[in-house]
Amino acid sequence: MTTTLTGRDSVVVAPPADRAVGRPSAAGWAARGAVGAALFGLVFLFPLTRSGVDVNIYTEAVIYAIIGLSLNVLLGYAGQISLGHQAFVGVGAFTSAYMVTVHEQNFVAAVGIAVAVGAAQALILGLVSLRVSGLYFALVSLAYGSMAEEWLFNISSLTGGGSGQPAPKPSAFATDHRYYYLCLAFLALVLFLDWRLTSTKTGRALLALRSNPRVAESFGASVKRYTLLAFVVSGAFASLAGALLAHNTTRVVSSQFQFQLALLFVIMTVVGGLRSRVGVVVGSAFFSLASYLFDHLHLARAVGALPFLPNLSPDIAPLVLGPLLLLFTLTRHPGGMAEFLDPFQRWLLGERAKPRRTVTIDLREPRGSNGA
Amino acid sequence: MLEVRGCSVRFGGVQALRDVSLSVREGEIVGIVGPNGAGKTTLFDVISGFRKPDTGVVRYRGRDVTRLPAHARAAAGIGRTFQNLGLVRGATVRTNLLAAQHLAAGYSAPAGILGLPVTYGSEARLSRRADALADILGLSGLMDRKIDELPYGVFKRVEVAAALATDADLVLLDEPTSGMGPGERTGFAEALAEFRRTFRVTVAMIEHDVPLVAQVCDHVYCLNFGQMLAEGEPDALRSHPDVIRAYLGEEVPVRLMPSSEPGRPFLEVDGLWVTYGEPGRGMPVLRDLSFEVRHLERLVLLGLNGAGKTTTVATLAGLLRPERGSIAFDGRDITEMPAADRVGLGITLVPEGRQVFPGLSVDHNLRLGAWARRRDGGYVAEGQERVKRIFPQLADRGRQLAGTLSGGEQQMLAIGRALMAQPRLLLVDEASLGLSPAITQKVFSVLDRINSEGVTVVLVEQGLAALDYADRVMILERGELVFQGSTTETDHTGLRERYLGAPVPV
Amino acid sequence: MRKGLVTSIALAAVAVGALLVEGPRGRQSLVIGLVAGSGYGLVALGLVLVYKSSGVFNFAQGEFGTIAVFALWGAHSVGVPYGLAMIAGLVAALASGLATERFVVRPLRDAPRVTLLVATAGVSLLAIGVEIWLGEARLRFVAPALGRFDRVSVFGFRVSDQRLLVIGTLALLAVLVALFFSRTNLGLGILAQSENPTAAELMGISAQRLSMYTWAAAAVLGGLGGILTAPLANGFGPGFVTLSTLIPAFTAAVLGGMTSLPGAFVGGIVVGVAESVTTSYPVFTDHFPGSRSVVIFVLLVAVLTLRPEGLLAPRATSGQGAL
Repeated sequence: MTTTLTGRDSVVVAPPADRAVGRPSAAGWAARGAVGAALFGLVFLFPLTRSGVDVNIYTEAVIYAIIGLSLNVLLGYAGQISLGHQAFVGVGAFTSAYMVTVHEQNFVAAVGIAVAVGAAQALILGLVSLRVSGLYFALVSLAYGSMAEEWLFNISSLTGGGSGQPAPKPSAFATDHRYYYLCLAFLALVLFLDWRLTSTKTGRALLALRSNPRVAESFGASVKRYTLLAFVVSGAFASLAGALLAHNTTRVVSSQFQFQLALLFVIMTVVGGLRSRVGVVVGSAFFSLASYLFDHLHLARAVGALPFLPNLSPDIAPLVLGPLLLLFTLTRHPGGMAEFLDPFQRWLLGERAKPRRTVTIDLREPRGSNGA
Repeated sequence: MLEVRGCSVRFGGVQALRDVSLSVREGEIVGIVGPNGAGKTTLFDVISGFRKPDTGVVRYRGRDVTRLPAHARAAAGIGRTFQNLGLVRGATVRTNLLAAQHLAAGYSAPAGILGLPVTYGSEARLSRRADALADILGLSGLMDRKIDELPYGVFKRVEVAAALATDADLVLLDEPTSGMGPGERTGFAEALAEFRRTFRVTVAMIEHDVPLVAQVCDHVYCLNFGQMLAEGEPDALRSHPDVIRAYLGEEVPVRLMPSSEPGRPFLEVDGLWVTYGEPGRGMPVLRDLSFEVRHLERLVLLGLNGAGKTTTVATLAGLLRPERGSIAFDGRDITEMPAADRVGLGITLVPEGRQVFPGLSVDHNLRLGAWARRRDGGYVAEGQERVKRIFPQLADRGRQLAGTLSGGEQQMLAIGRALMAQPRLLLVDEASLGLSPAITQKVFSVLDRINSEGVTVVLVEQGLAALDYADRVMILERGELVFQGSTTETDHTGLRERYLGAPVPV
Repeated sequence: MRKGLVTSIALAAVAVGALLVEGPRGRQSLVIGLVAGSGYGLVALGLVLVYKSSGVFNFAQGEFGTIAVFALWGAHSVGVPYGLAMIAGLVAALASGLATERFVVRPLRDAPRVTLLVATAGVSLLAIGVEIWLGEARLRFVAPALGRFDRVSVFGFRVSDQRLLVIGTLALLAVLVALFFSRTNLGLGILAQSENPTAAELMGISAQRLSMYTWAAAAVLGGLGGILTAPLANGFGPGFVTLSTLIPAFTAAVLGGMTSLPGAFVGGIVVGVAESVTTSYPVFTDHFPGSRSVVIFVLLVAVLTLRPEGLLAPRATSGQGAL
């Protein structure tokens, strides 16, 4: 972006090397269509060719995408560092399991209640965050997550203690395949809600709040109110994911929610790309599928070829590569995967680069004058 | 429309506002002036709800809003710009103007998230309003540019647009013309008058530029040290003795040792451009500044707030890098040299506000001043001795924590700390700030003694306190050098004219 | 500062008194608490050190300890004498600290503090991952530095030499660190830099150099904490120090206001004793399984909401004099 720094009273604002909207050609549309169809096939049709066990793993990836989106609301939109997010997910999981098993509610009611409880719990944490400044809240959330794992999820009467709580799938979606499509539907719902959130006043209020709380207030957006709203939405999404997760594995145990999970969530959202829906979804799915991919793409052999290093099994590989990716992202490419996923998405949806005009503004004139 | 009665605010151990009252009538443009630290921004914070006053009342349109939080006052019609903070970073102009219309959205937040039908229509309406506003302010082609990419003058315009977008009836502008050149300021003055007509807003404006205020405002208030000093018609205020004294201070007589004839050029500054913010589009603070400092002379750099005095010495000391231009010290180019190396070369700065290390003792502070030669225990001890001889007040306070010293003692400590590095060029930023004339006198005598021992001294001052001490004076205005001459030849009345009376060029 | 100190001492006296009355179980828990608390204090010292100089919450502090323990175990199990093995451990910790500073902290020097926090968390995860990969996720045992169990008795409860070593080291370090900051140039430089970075730059103090030294020191402190407390635990595995002490250590640092070094050690003791004492009451453990983390959470939230500047931090003074 070039601007001529003069002592003069007009400025020349040259266009950035950014994109602008143009229309693709017919060939362009054809290419886009082909890629779109391939993606559609991958997500919707490919799982039909795999066994239930594999589909189970894909379902988990979809659920992780929802978790990523929930953390994105808190970390990306509201700027709150939550290192205890696994607790939000766990609350949803246990509540739904509890409702189905102990109170014999049906699936829909159980999930609904789980969402409500998760949102309420997040609200409480949100109230704490209002009193405690950003970095310290990270500590509090970490301690909260640890406490949830060690105490909350071990209260036998609520959580079935050591052996956990059963959580059967709903009868209408009892097969692995059907459940996968159900979760995809929920993901679509969450994506829609997230899209509306960012396109309306809430999204802008959060943006202002994160960048400059005083400006947010001067625009009339209450920092308190919108921070709490972010927590509630985040908690709702997370506990929805937790409920879906519970019924996917059909049994919930407290050891599923260790604090390392919270850090994994942060990694997948940050590496995916904060504030980018595409980035977060792909990043979360990627990390969820990491062991699976590592195994199926035979990467273990590649690493095993290196001398002096013991075998890097598929289970362990993500534990090493994940943090490495995080550090790489933070230090070199803060935008994460979104740096190339966002342009890809724009391409797919039909944009094309076009040169933009230079704008001249004469600052002496109260209304300026626009020249081309 | 707005009434402030008897407000007092105290924080951080400082009385920021003391029993301040003012009123603004509907449709007026009111100016609020005063030297730095006078409490002007705190007053705005109280009016707009970012700070609750300890005592006093704020009434808006007859309604007591003293305890109302900031976002509720925005809803009531009070809009505001901020000094250097203004907008939502990382967002486009359009997003900012939409965000500013937060209260006019017409749907609740949850409705927005759920994507209810009403939201789509409302969003379209808000977008149209934003376009209309941008058109009025000449920002139409820029709606999709990120505000971080905009040059400074345009950025300020977007700020004003955002304030107007909040549909405010009372707009508080905090230093709207800082960083603007003379032509821009004229444009701003005209724009302000037009906005009052078009949007029917009432304006309260904090400004340092007294001539601009005189041109534009109906009524002016002057604050100093948290108190309302004077109010009235702009012209009357400019000649008010209290106001003049607040800005200029008083001369401090010093008995001087005979000074040697100023010698060769010691420090040469050529074509300096310094901006704050991103290179290429930040706020220009110094514009094409060129001057020289001669060996062993005593120079004072004068200027009002925002003139760029502190920026100048900070750049000389190496804390800031200029965008263009060069600095040469004793024949050697030091433009790119880091601050630490400049200390080694003999340039030391006593920064504005003393900046001692409050949790460390006096001895420790002095010891740190000799950081470049810290391993030489003897050097450090000798230096401490010397400083205590020059400043006897510090002699017995070696172990005392610097934060517990009085203002004057801290100033002496700061100078002493700078002396530990045995500078050849000593830069002192606002030595007299907050000090009584008696103590200021002592400080200047010491500076005089230092000068006679072979140190070139450059002082930065806002008022006239150092005129007696210095050989030569330079005046900075809005980042440009507008005057230089020897102090004996300078007419002191002329100085006053420069500060308070020079009209804005048309 | 005095008020906080008096309050803490008073509370401590009450606690000790109650415990002595309680009987052998109470005394035992007091001693255990002191030892655990010293461990927390050692790690907390490193946390405060880093925070004072870089403003960063160092989530990798625990892993500096675990790395040291792994190195110690590794060296010892191939026959290296224990003393040298300990040094090997400290060297390993030092290397990790320097590497973290060089590759993670320095590039992110101007980034928001949040980013740095996430980055240090990433470092700790990376360390854990590598530990699992190279070391397998099982428990190992490491011998204590001092092996005698029956030399000393406190309140009728036998205290092992290793436990005494931990407490003693913390006390010694407390003195050494205090001296470091008040006597040495480097210590002064760090304090100055954290109080007023602009003025420090004017003095010629290099923030970059200081950052390196600070992280090195913090890593060694973390390593020491790990090496001394690992033998007392029932085995160690990947992530050992982080899992057992990171959150309590942070709580301890917070109790000290995050900027007070003496506060960090006292905070450590307070956390250790509080945790130990409350979990020794069956009444408590019955209702709160995993009550350890509950106590710490409550303590943390209480301090942050009621007294965010910590129990022992001195009142802030201005460096600008009267204006």
